[in-house]
Amino acid sequence: MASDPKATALAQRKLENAGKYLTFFLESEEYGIPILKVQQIIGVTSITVVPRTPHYVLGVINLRGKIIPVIDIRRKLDMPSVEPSEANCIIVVKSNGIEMGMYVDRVNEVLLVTSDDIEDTPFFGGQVSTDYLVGIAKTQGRVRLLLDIDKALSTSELLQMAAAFSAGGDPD
Amino acid sequence: MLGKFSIAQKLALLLFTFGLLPTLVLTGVAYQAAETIESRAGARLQSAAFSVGDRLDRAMGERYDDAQKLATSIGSAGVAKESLGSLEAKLNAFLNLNPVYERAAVVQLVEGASDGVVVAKTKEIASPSYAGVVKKANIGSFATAGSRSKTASEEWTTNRPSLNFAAPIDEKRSFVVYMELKKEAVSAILENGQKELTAANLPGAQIAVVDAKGNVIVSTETGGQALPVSELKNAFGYVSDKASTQGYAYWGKNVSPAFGGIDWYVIAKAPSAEVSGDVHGIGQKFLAASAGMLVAIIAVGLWLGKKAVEPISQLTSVATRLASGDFTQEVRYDGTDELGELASAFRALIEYGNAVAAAADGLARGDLSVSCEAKSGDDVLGGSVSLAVTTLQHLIEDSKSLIDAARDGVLEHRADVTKYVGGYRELLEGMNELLGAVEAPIAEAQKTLERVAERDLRGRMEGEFKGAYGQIKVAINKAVGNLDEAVARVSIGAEEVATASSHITSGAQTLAQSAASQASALEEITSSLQEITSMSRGNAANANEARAMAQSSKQSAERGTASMHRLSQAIDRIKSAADQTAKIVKTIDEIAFQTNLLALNAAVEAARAGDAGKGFAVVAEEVRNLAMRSAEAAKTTSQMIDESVKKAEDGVILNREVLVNFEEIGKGITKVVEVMGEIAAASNMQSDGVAQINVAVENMSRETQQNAATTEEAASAAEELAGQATAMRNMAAEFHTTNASAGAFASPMRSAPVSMGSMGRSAPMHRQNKSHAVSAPVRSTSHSHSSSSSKNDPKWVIPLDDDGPMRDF
Repeated sequence: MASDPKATALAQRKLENAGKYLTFFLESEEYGIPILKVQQIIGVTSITVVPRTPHYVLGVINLRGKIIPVIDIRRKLDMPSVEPSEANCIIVVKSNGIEMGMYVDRVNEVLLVTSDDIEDTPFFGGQVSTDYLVGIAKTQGRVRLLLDIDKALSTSELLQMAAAFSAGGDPD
Repeated sequence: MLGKFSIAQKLALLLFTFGLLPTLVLTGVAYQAAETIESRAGARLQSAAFSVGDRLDRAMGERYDDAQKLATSIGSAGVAKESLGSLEAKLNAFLNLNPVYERAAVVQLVEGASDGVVVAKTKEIASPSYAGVVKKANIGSFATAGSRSKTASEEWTTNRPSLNFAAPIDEKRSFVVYMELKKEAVSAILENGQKELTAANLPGAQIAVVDAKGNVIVSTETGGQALPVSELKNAFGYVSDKASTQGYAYWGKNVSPAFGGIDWYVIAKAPSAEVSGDVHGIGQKFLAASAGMLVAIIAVGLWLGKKAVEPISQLTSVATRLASGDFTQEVRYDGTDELGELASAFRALIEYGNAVAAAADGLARGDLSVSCEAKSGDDVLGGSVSLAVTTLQHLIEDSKSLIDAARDGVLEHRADVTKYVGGYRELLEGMNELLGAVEAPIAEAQKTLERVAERDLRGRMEGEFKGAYGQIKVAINKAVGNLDEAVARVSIGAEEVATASSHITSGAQTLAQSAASQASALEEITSSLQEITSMSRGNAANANEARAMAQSSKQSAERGTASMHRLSQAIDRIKSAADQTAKIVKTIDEIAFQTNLLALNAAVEAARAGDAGKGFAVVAEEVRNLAMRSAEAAKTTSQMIDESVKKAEDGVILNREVLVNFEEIGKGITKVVEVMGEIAAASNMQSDGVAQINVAVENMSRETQQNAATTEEAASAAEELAGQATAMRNMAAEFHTTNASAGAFASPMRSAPVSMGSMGRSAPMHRQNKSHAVSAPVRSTSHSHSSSSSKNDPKWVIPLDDDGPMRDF
């Protein structure tokens, strides 16, 4: 099986994806995002609502002088909203070159995921898109969904918005 | 018309008429005399006025001569040539020679001017208007009479009338001499006239000179007033002034028509009282005397009339009383005239009438000892009264003998009626018949009552009697009949009483038996009641004990309630402490959360640093673990606190329930205490009630025993009654009655009651005596029994000894 090119590509990809992940909870499920994507983790501060933005955009926050959009990852992933709790956090990530906040239920830990731990995303049928997942980690007897943050957050509206923020704000 | 007046009034009228005529004549004469006196006084006044006027006239003529002489002495030439001073000297010299003048002047009269001009004058003439008056006064006289002018003028400036003279000096009459006479000259003349009048018995007379309007020029009177001259001019003679209250008389004369100036008059006057006062006084006195005399005449006439009429009216009243049968009159008039004879005839008539009346009065009062004799053969009244007296004396004697016989029971005696006639005879015959009528019923009643006395009740009165005798017959028959019937009924009644008394005896015995059984039942009731009493007393005591226990329980419950209150306060304090702790824990939790975030950020940073950050990553991991643990510990603590708070709250709820329970317990115990109290009270009341029942039962038992005794007495009384009934029946049987049936059913009943009576009579009497003997000492010590019950105390009345009937029960 090792000689199989498909398997080799898979192994290669697993190897690429191995590394440290920051895990967080949505509902009772634990998700992970690559730690290098993470800029900062902050508690929930006041979010300014911006009109005429996509429904998954909660608004913007002022992060030490920088205005960054905050996305409700639940809405983005078509999950139902829940009541805010004291454990809610905003994870500041840099995706597709722009900084943005991810509103999550609870941040858990920094987890080291080895390539052996990563399983490929199962096939659920032709209609179901699982592009936003890199794979599924199965460390310590638990299952964690590894998000491809660039894909998960990539949309045309978001890009436009990010561009709009970039144009008016950060030269970077 | 005169018939209406009494004799006295007629006599008075006659005297009055005859007295009036001379009085009238005398009054007329008196008035005539007064008129004469008055006219004489008037004539005296008149002559005085004439003489004064005449003297004045003459004096004025002389004075005019004086004026003419003065004018001539001056002369017409003198007026023109001489100086003013010589003229005045001449005038003054003239005044000195003739002191009768007041003043003098020479006046020039200018044609057409109203006032003259004074060219010379005596000192007193100063006023220019004075000359005007002179001219005015002299113009008329100069026009008519040339040679002689005399006038009396008015001096207007002083408003005082004066007597002036003026005479012409020259032919042309352009200058005149003017003189004014002194008032005293005129007054002297007037005073002379007045003196003459005073001498003529008119001391109040006055004389005055007045003008036509009545203004006084000169007068003997000071302050003389205006006088009505216009009236005096027309009346030549004495005038009486009725209007004046003082009553003056006047006499006037016009002496002026021939001369210029004003008219003047002399008036003599005197008070009317002086002129005619005496005469009027005489007339008035005469009138008063006449009136007094007339009154006296009327009084005398009335008195005389009364004196004459008095005896006539007295006799009239006596005759009137005699006609009405009153002979007690007395005629007091005593005289020798015709009226005196009439009075003595009246006295004889009264004496006779009194004698007859005394006899008749005696008859009327039943006094037959009176005597009355006829005064003459014609005296029918006296003779009749005498005969009536003798007849009545005989009649009364016969009646007395009849009545005496009847009173002694001799009813056969009769009176001899042949001596009497008419009504007297009828009266005696009637008395005889009366005795006969009384005799018959008495005899028959006697017979009937004699049969009753022999116990034969069948006899009755059979005769026919009228009125009260008939009633006596009916009454006696009814009495005997009633007695008859009553005896029969008594016989029947005695039988019935005997039967009934035997029934009563048996009934009373039965009653005595039942009373005895009742008494034993009552004793059982009494013992049961005593048991009930002790039980209810015990109940009351137990209830009181239970109440005391409940009271202490209640206090315990109250203490528990207070403890529970304190407990709930403690729990509240625990809760608040837990709340404080929970806040701290929450803060710790937040610190842990922030530390966790910091650790994660550190881990992110360490990862970025690659290999260089590996050590830092480990530290961050450790920090995170610590944060996690502290969060976990805080969570556990918080849970524990929550749990303890929850338990505390449960404790509070439990505490409340316990409190409520305690309160309910308290209430329940309170109620228990009350109920126990009520039970105790009710038990006490119950025992009291039972005690009362006990008393009642004792009373009942006593009453029952008394009943028994009474029953016994009733039985013995019934037996005695039967014996009495038998005796009564035997007595009734001794009477012969018309009703034969009464005796028919009496015989079979005779034996039974008698035997019963003989048996029962002794036993109860004996018992009764015994019971009284025993009860006597007990009664003295007993206090509770009343007087009525002590007499028949059942304990002693009920026979409990051997020979009593109670022994059989």
